[in-house]
Amino acid sequence: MSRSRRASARERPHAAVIVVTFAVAASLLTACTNPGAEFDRAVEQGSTAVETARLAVALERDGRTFASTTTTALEDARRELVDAASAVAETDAESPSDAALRADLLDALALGVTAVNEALDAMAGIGTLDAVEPALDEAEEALDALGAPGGTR
Amino acid sequence: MKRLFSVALGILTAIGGFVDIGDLVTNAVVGSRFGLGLAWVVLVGVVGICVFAQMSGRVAAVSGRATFEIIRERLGPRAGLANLGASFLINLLTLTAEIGGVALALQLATSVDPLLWMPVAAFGVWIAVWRARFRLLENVTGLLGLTLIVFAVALFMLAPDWNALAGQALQRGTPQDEPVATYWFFAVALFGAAMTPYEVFFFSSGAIEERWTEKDLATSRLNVLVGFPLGGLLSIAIAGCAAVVLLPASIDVTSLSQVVLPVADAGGKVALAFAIVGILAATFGAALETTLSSGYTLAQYFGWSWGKFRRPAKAARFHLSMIICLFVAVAILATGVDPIVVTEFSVVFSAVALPLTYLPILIIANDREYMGDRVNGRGMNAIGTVYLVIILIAAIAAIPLLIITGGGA
Repeated sequence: MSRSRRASARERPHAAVIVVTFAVAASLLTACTNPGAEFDRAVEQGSTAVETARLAVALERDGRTFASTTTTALEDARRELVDAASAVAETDAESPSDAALRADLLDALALGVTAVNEALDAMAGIGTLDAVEPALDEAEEALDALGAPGGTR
Repeated sequence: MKRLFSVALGILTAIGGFVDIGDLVTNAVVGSRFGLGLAWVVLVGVVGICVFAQMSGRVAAVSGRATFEIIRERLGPRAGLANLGASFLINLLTLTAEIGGVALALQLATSVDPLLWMPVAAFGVWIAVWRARFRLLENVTGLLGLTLIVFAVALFMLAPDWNALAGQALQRGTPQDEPVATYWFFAVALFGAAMTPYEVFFFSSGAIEERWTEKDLATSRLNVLVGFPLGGLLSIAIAGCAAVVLLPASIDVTSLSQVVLPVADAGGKVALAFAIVGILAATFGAALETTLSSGYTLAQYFGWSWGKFRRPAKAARFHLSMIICLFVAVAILATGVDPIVVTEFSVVFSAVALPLTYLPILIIANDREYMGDRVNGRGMNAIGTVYLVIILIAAIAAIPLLIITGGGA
């Protein structure tokens, strides 16, 4: 085998590694920026936050937690909802249906933020926790509708 | 009687000291997503940490020197540096997570922003490391950490369907709604959390601090073989509580406040108070251990004077390095990074660094020059080798799984 052939034979595996690396990186980047995946993640994140708030409020109403723990759980839930909304707001739509879904999802997450804020207000003595439950239900229903099969796709 | 008390105390502190922020968060996350489907990983991890902690303690007791010191001498400065680099960086990340954990626990008790608690937590750790005696640090945090048993009590009070829990634990394969890669990502994270490198370095250096000799080997073995497995049961109880309360409500754990909600659900404010005290003690204790481990690893590699048994002025570089590490940890947290995210990364990167930590220990535990007749037996070497294979697989798989799953999202 000539010297140049040996050299090209040595280079071939390197080229293959580079191509595979690019392919994997490209597929990962595609997965990261896929609006459907981003929306699914946001629905899950939002639902988790709303359910956490519901549990924290229920425990508070039963007198089973400290106010500081409830407040912390609610603040954490609000942060999750805001993070999810921010991620959705920054996602570029690839079709008119994506754009419509993004708007619906932002509305649903806003309902969640409003409900959790009402709970935090109640903890601070503004309003009562009784009014929070229906608001959380509404947010959950909106998120469930988007999370149902076909909801965000 | 005094000896019996010492053994009991050692076991209790081992139970309380086993759980740190990594175990707390990872077990709760796993419980809320997989139920007890990954409990087997905790068992594997506990056996692994028992094997290597026991080996490391034996090296220290027999040779009268800390493991890290011997690694540098036996394997040379280059291999020692690789070991130092991996262990130290992971340790620093873990220290950051623990300081964040202390701040989050204080937030649960006060609802004051954790950013304000972080410098206070770091100062508390520094003052304890500077002033308090080694045994006092270990015993107080270990015993207070025992209040985490409230998670096991809570699990019983929640009156779960035990058959369903056993079914989850014995279930083969992943749950239908979770991808296979995510299942294995959390398996690796849980393994990394159970076998965090600082635990063995702290154990070995602690043996020197407490002036262990060959006579203490039986006590050390008992502490490890009883204390750590019971600590592992605590980890499973944390996952169990999440599995019973959070999993059915579709709550994926992303914050420490969610970890304690099942305890409040089960036992109300009294149980919650125990849980918060336990989390505070566990994270503070682990912050002390990781701070000391930072100083131990650096001082033992560079040959500085070290140890709590010396006055700070006699081990100045050892103490200065710990202060710098605490500053770095607070600086990282001051960027606003979520301590829970730091925790998740620390346990995954722990898994990556495991071979560099545990292979040298296995080599030294077989070196007659240091160990004399106390080298590993065939059985111990067989288990150690099997574990090295598992550790290697976990280390290789950790980063690809982290990328593929987007950090288990």
